[in-house]
Amino acid sequence: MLHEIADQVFNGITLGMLYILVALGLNVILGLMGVINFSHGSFFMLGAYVAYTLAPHVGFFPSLLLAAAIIGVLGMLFEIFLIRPLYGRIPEYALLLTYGTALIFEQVARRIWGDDAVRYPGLPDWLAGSVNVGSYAFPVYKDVFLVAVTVVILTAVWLIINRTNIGVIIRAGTRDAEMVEVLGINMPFTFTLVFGLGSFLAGLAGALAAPVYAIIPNLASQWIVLTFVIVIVGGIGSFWGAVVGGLAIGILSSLMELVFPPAVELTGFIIMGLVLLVRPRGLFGVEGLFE
Amino acid sequence: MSSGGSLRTEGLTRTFAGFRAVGDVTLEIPEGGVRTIIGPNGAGKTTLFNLLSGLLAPTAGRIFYGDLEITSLAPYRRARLGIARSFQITNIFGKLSVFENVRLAVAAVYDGKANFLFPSRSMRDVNETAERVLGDIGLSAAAGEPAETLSHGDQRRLEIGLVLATDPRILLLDEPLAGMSPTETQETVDLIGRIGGGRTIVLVEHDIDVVMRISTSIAVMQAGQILAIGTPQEIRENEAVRRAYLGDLA
Amino acid sequence: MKPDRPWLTLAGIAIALGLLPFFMPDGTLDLFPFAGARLPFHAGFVDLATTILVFGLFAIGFNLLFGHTGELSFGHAMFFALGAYATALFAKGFDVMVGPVHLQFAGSGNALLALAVALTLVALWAWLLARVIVPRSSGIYYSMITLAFAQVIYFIAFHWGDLTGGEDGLQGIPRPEVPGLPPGWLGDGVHFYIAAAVVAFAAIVINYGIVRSNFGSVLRAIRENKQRARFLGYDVEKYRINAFVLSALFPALGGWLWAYFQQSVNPDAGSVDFSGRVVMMSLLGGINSFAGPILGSFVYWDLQNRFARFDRYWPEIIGIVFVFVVLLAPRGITGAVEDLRRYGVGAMVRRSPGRRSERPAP
Repeated sequence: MLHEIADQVFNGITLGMLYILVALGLNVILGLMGVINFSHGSFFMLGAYVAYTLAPHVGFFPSLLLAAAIIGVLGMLFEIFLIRPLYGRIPEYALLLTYGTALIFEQVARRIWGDDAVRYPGLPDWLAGSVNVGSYAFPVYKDVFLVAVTVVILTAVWLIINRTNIGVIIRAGTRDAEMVEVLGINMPFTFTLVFGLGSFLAGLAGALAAPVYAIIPNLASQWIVLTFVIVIVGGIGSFWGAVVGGLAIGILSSLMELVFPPAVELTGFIIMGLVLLVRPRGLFGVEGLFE
Repeated sequence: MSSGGSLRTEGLTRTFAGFRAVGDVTLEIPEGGVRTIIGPNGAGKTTLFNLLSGLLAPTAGRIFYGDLEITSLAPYRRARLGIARSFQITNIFGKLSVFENVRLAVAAVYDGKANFLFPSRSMRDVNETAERVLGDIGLSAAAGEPAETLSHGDQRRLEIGLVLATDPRILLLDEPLAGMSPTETQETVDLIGRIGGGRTIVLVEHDIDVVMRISTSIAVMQAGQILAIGTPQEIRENEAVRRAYLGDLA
Repeated sequence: MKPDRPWLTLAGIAIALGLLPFFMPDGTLDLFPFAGARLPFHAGFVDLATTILVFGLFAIGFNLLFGHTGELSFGHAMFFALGAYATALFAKGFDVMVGPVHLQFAGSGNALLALAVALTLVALWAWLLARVIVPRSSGIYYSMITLAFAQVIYFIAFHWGDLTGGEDGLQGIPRPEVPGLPPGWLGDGVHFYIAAAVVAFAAIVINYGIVRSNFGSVLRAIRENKQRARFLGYDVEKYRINAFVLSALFPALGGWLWAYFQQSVNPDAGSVDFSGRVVMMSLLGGINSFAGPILGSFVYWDLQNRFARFDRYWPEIIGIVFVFVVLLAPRGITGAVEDLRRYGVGAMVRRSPGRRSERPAP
């Protein structure tokens, strides 16, 4: 029994890491620009597909980084051509437009990679297999590599947000965006960069997920709603909100598998409902950000 | 027209993350007349206003409307009781017509229940009152225009019109003359004079000339506290106020 | 914006509803191409018209919230689904264990009672949700939360197989009998359309009344400037809650029709996709106009019908059209027509609704 619980906890941690990356990506964009990117899930999906496509040619690790980078650049172009024209309008329009693009992305994915799930070619030897600690076997990729990469990336993002000039701007948030621009900082460029960062994180998560989860075109719609839930639970725009929210939902959903399997997918929503009742702005949410 | 109402605060305080914007203010605003609050920037005038109108909740202290305590009452309830507030930055319904703006204000206090399938057109009383108010503020000609197309001065007058239309006992006017030309200022002062009647008008303003001319009494704020209260003459001669303003007074 | 001759407008709508089937292209209507075996459905032009009506009702409800109150609910499909499932379960009956409690119902052919049940259920759920969501959120936060709750309904429909039939849903819902008309009268597509059109017309009249009422004008005030509405004396939160509940009843009605029309329901009716489509229809038609939602439904289904036949990936076309509309013609077709008539092409973009400047601090 303990074994099963431990298994699920570690499954949950793996899942949670991915959730964190995607939610953080959305949060960074949301916090600075007040824009919801409904296609964020599409970027996750595309990250997985691109990694899958590149892996046989350039090897595992390069494909990981390349996929994330490509999605990051895609995000920046996306922002410049599609999001920027909407800045004069209420944020609902960005949500609407990115819903439209999510539809387009899904169909494009179907065109290129087909409707059925594609299987990742296989991990390099040094990542396959597992590490034994006591009576537990930890799959190297899921429990060691993926977690390690995520932690490294999270540290990097944290440093960027808290220790750099651009981080100061990001933390100043939407409210002061105009003020910051008055100070002479190029806001449009910053917006593009931040959008790129957020998309990079989504793409990276997708690339990391590719070897261990099924890659299908409607990955995007599966993940986007869950990402919203995590953001609501953790608090809009919050770094630690994404971390705690992602991890909590990852682990608790996995544990739900042992308690009441049909409700696994509902776990996140239950948590969200509870959080909304008690702390309407999310666990780490800032008051007044979107009201 | 309504008679004026009185407002009273007891130890009213509001802090923002350690900064005391309004500190322990005990103030009585009697019925009727024009009561103006002046003070240098950062004195806490707008915060006090926001506390009185319900936009902000006090950190400590109480607020009374006549005998009724309204400290934790939501803004919409205060409005229903007869405390109406105008905004420093014009806060009208831009895309709606001027007439619709005023009509909404009139309808808000009309009977409290929104008639459901009742076409708004046939609420005759409301419409007539709205037209009358439009006439009072001199915007009848622009009735059908979208509010956002009005000139700045006209928008400020609409702003006051919205407050007037709810037939309040207390009008809280937040810098109604902000950004106006001399002509517009005079027109608006006349308007304020016309609509006063028996109502209580509480004003926050920077234009000292106007303040001196129209106020029944003046309260001077500084650093979140009331420095002095009195008639314009008394304030003009008050030493502490002179020091605070350093020659800003006539 | 508000027309001056209500009877003329309503008569016009009645005539349009009467003529609608004649404007449908001939041919097949494959509603869910990627569901594969789930719902292949070949029908003539009348069925497309009925579909347009159903979704038009759905869009009307959505638009009451978005176009008039200014709140974007991205989960409105849940009300459609609840209406459809409630109807289906009422018509077919059910027999489930909810924990220790045994719930059983034999099923009834009484369509009007089914409607009452569906509307009540939806109103209750909408009211509960609104009480939780409305005071705590607005703007995109609100949109995200409504989407999330809709997913809950979707998952329940998908997973609670004993009650809902799970992924496959419920089939074999019999068309109701109309008292006074021969048995099986509604079995014919044209007859069903007539019935649906009558229902739709009634709903449109009600919507018309709401839009033109004092309640409607307060909603629009809330859309324009929530804070000012509060300071005028309106209990804004109560209006928002009421608007939410009202807006839920129209999709519920649509779901009721849909259940009898398709004679089956499945979880797709509550999917993100469904919510998204109705948003698109509303935007396409024009959110600030009265006829917009139905027009949008018409255009949407027309587009889908055309493209689904020769392009496997037709959702992308819909997506492209949508992106185009959001960027360049955000006031939809009715808005574009109005602008073109009055100002010429350039004005279309400039007069977009929801410019940030018109939304001061809530």
